[in-house]
Amino acid sequence: MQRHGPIITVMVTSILTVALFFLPQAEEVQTYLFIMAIVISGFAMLIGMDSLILFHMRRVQQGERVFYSATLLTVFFITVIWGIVDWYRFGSPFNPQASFMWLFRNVYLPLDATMFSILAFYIASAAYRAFRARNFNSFLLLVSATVVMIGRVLYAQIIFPIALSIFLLLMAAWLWKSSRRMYGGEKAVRLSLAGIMVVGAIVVFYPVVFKFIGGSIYGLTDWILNVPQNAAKRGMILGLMFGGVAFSLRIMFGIERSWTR
Amino acid sequence: MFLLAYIGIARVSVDTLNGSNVVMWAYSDVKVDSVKVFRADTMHPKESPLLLGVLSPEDTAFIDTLGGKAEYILRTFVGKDSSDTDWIGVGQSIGIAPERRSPPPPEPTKEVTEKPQGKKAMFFDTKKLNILIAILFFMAIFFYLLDRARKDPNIFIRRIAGLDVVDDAVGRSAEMGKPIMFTTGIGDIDALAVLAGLTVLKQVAKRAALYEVKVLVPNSYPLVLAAAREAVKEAYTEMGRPDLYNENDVFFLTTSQFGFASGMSGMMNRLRPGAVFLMGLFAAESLILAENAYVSGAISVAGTTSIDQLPFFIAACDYTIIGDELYAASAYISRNPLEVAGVKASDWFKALSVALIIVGVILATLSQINPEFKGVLEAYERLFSMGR
Repeated sequence: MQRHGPIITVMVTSILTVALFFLPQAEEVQTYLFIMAIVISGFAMLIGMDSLILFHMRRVQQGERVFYSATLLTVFFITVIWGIVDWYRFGSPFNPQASFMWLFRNVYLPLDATMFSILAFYIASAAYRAFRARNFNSFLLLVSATVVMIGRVLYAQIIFPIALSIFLLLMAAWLWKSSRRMYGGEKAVRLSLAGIMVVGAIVVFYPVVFKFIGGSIYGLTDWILNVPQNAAKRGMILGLMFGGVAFSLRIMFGIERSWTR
Repeated sequence: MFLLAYIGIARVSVDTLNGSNVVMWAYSDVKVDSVKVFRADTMHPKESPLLLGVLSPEDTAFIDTLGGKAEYILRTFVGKDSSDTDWIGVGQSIGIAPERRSPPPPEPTKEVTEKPQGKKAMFFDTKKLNILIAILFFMAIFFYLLDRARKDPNIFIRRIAGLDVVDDAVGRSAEMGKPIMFTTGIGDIDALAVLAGLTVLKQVAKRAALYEVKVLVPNSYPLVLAAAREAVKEAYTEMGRPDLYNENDVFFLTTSQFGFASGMSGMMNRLRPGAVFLMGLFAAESLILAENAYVSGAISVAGTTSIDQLPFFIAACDYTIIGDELYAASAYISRNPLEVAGVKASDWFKALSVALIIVGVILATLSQINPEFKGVLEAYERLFSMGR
């Protein structure tokens, strides 16, 4: 029974939930199931607290990383006691009048915001590793990401032509330097290749072209996001939905039982 | 925009916070018994919105972690009466004008949710008949493939690089004498991605038991913790090494999103694991975890069904299991024919949907060329629409 109990429970509740979707009369039953789930997760929180407290108490007893564990336990109990006191005084620790909100606003929220803001640096380091033109696919990623990034910032009309001009000038310099190997030092060929790039850079700066390219960067960004990106995304969503249906059926009928014994 | 006669609700607004939508409201003088919050989006039309929660009269806000573009409606209950507000989108707010706040409490009006009098209540929602047929059809395919798998267990499944590396990652950890870290992310047990992550956890734990490698599993929800403990314990028992199982290796961290990211990052940097598996439901903390896995020098294998987080994993992790590959992961590793048959079923569903899309494209094109096809196209569209 210990083995089959959870599987039978899952099978019955999942089939019932699917059936309730089609029965408008049974909205109340759906509500009760929903409330039951909330109550169960409320009790489950005790398991989490038990795990957390025992884990860190054991570490304190064993003298292993005592500072971290002792700090966590102290802060945990201060928060719980503070919350209970304010719950008793104000009806809820999250009452705007409650002093617990001071703790929430001045300790929890800044800590949360700090972790979230660190994300900016992680994005930079991950982008540095990802945006390297190692092969054709990563080159496409680099180009499209650059266009989208520029297209999503303010003054893209100005930034994009400047960035393109700088890119063309750098290409001209690189061609001048490295084309010696490719074309056996033919000065005329090297000059003309580099010259094309320089002319291109100047043309980009020409006001009319400048306006044309600057104006279309937003369109190009939107096209990348709405057409190729969205097409791939929709394909994945479709796969996810059907994969989810098949996975749910596997769980509902006890074929997939890795989550239990 | 002003409310006229919503029972119990004086003001409603919807805002965003950290990717979640926050529905906030204030009560009028009428005391309500309970409030239901519904959500409508592309997946859940307004005719059959998603019930987000049943709240008590003390609650004045609801955080919808699904986020995204959506509209919300509040349904208040006073005795036997109920009343709906208008649909309200993100960034909007509706409320009673100041001069309307004081009038006597509105008479409980029977509107919207009340069934029409004199008409027999519907037992089965016929608007959803097409969905029922689709579900039964999918189930028929599913059981047909299961039956076929029982007769012939040799079913082909394409190679998934991110899952082939599981053995290497566990082996590397064994050689280095370092633990493995595995997390199912910040989703609760009701998330399919978390359940899929748990199935992978069991397979990883089996290999860890074989190589005698320690598996550390931090969890963000207590119910996931209980299921993860069962999965790891069962894996060690199945491999004949129950003595290696330590309950304290599968532990609870916090339900706070960035608290969890912070705790896991700290552990990765202190313990320097040989391999880090991030398989489950992730949100903005995905890149924090992936980058810290990289910094700690571990092989990182990630898999999630959150499409918005996949680019981060692809950029930062060594191997990424993309989208629905995560649902196939357990079957792929275990090679259990019945589970593989389930994966095959999803492939059949996909092939079928592609065929239906192609038919739709052809009909849409024909209707542009010849207006006579417009009727056929509309009829075809109605097959897939709910509530028409």
